Amino acid sequence: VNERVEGLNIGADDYLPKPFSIMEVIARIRALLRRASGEHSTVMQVADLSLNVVMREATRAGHKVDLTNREFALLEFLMAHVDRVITKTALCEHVWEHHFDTGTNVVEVCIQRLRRKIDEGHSQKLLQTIRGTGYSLRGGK
Amino acid sequence: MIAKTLRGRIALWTVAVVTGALILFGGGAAWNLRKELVKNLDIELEVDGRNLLSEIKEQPGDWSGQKGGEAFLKEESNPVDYVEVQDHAGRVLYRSANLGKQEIFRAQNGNQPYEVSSNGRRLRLRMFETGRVRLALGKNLATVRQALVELASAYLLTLPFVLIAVGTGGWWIARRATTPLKAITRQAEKISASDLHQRLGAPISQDSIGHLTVVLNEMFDRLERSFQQVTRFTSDASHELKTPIALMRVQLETMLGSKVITPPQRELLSGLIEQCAQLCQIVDGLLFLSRADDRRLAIEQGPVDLVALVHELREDAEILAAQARLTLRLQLPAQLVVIGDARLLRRAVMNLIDNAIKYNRAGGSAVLAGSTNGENAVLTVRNTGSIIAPAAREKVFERFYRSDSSHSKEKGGHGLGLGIAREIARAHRGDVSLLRSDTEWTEFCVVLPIDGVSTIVPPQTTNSRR
Repeated sequence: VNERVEGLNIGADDYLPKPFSIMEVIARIRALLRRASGEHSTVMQVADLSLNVVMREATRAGHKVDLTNREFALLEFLMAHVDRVITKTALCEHVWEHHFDTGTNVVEVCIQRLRRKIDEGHSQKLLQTIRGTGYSLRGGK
Repeated sequence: MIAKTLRGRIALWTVAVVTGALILFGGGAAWNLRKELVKNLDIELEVDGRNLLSEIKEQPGDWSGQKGGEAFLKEESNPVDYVEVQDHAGRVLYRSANLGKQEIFRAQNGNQPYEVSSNGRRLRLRMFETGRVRLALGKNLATVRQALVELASAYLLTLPFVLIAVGTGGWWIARRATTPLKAITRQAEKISASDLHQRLGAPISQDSIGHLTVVLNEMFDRLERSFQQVTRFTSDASHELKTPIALMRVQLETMLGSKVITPPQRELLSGLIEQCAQLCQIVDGLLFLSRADDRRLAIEQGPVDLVALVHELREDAEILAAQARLTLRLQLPAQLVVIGDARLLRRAVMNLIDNAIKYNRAGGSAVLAGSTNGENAVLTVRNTGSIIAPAAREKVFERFYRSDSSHSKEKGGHGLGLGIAREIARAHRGDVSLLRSDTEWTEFCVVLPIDGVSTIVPPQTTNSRR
């Protein structure tokens, strides 16, 4: 904490303690850029899926999707990293901030539930499993 | 009962020693007194004997056998004395009535006093000789004995009082002597239980108590040093491990993003990343524990509703439970608020839930229950896991402890979870303990004071703004 305070005090915009995931670095830089450009994204949009982070509401093609807290956090993280492959490990660390050993199973189950809620009945499947690597939210055409 | 305390033993020993000394002293005094009294008696015998002898010498003529002689002796001699007169032929010329038929001459003693006992009395005797007669004069030793008996009874009467006084004195002295010991014991107990930085107060005196203080303080120094070495080692090692692990992780992730790798390689890489993350968790756990050991855990303070916290974790817990084919039940009050660090408490509770699900039998159940007992919030986590042997009840909180390594390896735990949970609770002035482990339930319980860490000084943040 002291290092962090010191780092921020000497002019840093953010401070990320070791060990960190490269994806988190990128996400933070992006967030900083967003902030710098004055863009306040309260609503995230991927294809016809939108997520209002203030109202904590998700809609797919105009229909409201009910999400649990965890599913919401998961979707938020995936949408912030749209079109990127996210490893299970990274999800486990960033969405489930607390450290629990058997977390990867929880990630899988949660992903399945989320997929059922946002993709079922839609021809375009947004949440994709990248075999052997992780997951990705694809907004591509 | 008294003999069990050091004080009691010292008091009893004092009494015993003083009793022995008093007996010796009394015996010596009695012996001396008797000697003195007998000496006086001897002088009396000498004086009276000489007087009587000179009376006999002055009596003219041969008065032996005469009535007059007897009357004269009866007249002259003291009636309490024992007197016998013989001539040199051994004929008894006079024998005082108190002697009866007793013979009191004893030729071989010459002029030395001697003692004879008969008819329950003891006599001190002496013989005198003139040309005409032999005279034996005796005095009863009853007076001497009487004096001794009086002395002894005076002694015995005062003895109990003296012993009571001595015992009380011994108790008091022992108390004075052991008071600094007690103080040292109390302090040392406090130090070893709570804070190794503390030391016993400076020795007041140069005696053995002072020496003990110095020795104990040196021992605490060594203890603290080795304790710090262990803590520092863990903390340094974890720190040193962090950088290479972070680098590995970044490189692996970069590789994963590369277009040229094949799907099997991809799978391998993500497996490696997962292992990396595991390693990270262990290192992180170790660092966390070494901070806790060193009492450097930074604890943020705020109201934390444990019930809300459990509900937050419920989603994950239910997934985990369903996967392990367990029933998860919650028995929680409306709310259970403590003051503490939400992030840390969540971690502790998650560790316990994770543990309860991981070490369970298929088809078993896990129950989370919350309650308050006066000043504490109590959260219990029960499961139907295998029985933890009584000998292992404290060991489960030790780092990297595994009841059966081959068995729990596949469960994926790294053996720090319970230790971390306990340290978090302790940093909140609470504790995690194993309540029971039998065929029915294995039950862990977190106790947290409701007023939280209010007495702990919040962590200092250095303000280096210039």
